[in-house]
Amino acid sequence: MRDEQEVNAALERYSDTVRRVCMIYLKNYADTEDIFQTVFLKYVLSSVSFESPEHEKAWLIRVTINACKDLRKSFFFNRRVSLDEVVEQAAEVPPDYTEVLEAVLSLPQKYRDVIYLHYYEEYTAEQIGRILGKNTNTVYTNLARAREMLKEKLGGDAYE
Amino acid sequence: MNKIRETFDAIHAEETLVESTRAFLDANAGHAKRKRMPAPARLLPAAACLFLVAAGGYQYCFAATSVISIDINPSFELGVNRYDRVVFVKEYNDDGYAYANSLNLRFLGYEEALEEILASEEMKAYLSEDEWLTITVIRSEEEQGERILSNVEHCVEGHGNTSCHAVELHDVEGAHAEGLSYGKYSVLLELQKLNPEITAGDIQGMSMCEIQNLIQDLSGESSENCQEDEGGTHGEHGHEHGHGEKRHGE
Repeated sequence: MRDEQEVNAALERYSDTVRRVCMIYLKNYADTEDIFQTVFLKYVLSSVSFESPEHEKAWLIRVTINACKDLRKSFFFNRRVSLDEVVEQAAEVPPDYTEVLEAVLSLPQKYRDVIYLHYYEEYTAEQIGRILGKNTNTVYTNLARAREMLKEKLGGDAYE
Repeated sequence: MNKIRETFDAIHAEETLVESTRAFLDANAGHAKRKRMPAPARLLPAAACLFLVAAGGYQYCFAATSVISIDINPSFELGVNRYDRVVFVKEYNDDGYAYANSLNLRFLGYEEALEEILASEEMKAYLSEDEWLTITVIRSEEEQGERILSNVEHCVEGHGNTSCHAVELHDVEGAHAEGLSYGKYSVLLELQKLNPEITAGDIQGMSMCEIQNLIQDLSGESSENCQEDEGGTHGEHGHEHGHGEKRHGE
């Protein structure tokens, strides 16, 4: 179990990361708030000792993804919302980036997370496989398909 | 790539979100901030346990306070006591019986038990056949349940084709009356939202991968677990561990 100082440091370091993962999985702010609290409570209660900041970050990403998937399983079938609402919940995104964000968030879920983990967090396919519990080859396939879909939607070099 | 990076860079956790989380943790995790007890004090629970056993408090030490449901095609549960030890192993199908009896899990710490399960040749064989392992933590004591889930997630890190979840005991308490493990029953509840006519008997002999594919067929949504691969659909191939059980599609 972790003390207050560790938890405050984690909130400082990883809040943005957890927020971004929530954004690619969830559809409204209330769910994001629930998951945010769940993830950091797990962090407080966890006795896992991290070998490095990278290990700690990967653990938090994995826990966030699992918590989001659990929530989606519970409510997925009766809480559909429009893409506009999904983009709106990603508050304070400058208009210049709305198009890219919309394009990413309109992808099927299995493509969104690999795009985020690969292009933003810069994980390899093997590392993504470990985080998501998927085969490396499946990650490669999903990345390739996601790239094609983004190319269709955006053109240009956003996906290169 | 630059545009994607810049877009995600522009997303930050709102200050109100961080503050509300901080307040939530203060209110709910205060008990977790206790200082570590000195070594002699840490022995007190064990000493207390011995005393209680001697005084007829067997139930206190050997009652499960959380359950971990392991479902792939073998389906069985580990009962975990308040000291994080496995106090029972209960099987819910023939494969589960054969598999659980090939391991000696009772009285191991639950993390050690899970490591033994994941390291077993039979489990490796299942996972290499693209079956899907679902580990469900059933919470009856909230703090222990959260901690177990967190440690289970850590245990399965690096193992493909696995997922971990937590459910509340009161949501799945009908499981055993239907002859299913808690984990499989929680999936049955999801299935029944899509087709209320599906019964426990329909899924009893199905692997988790086959059930995921059924959910996919009924919902029209792509499965996040048993995905289609280039070489075909997982879960449609029977494997050698079936012991004659009826399978979906047979």
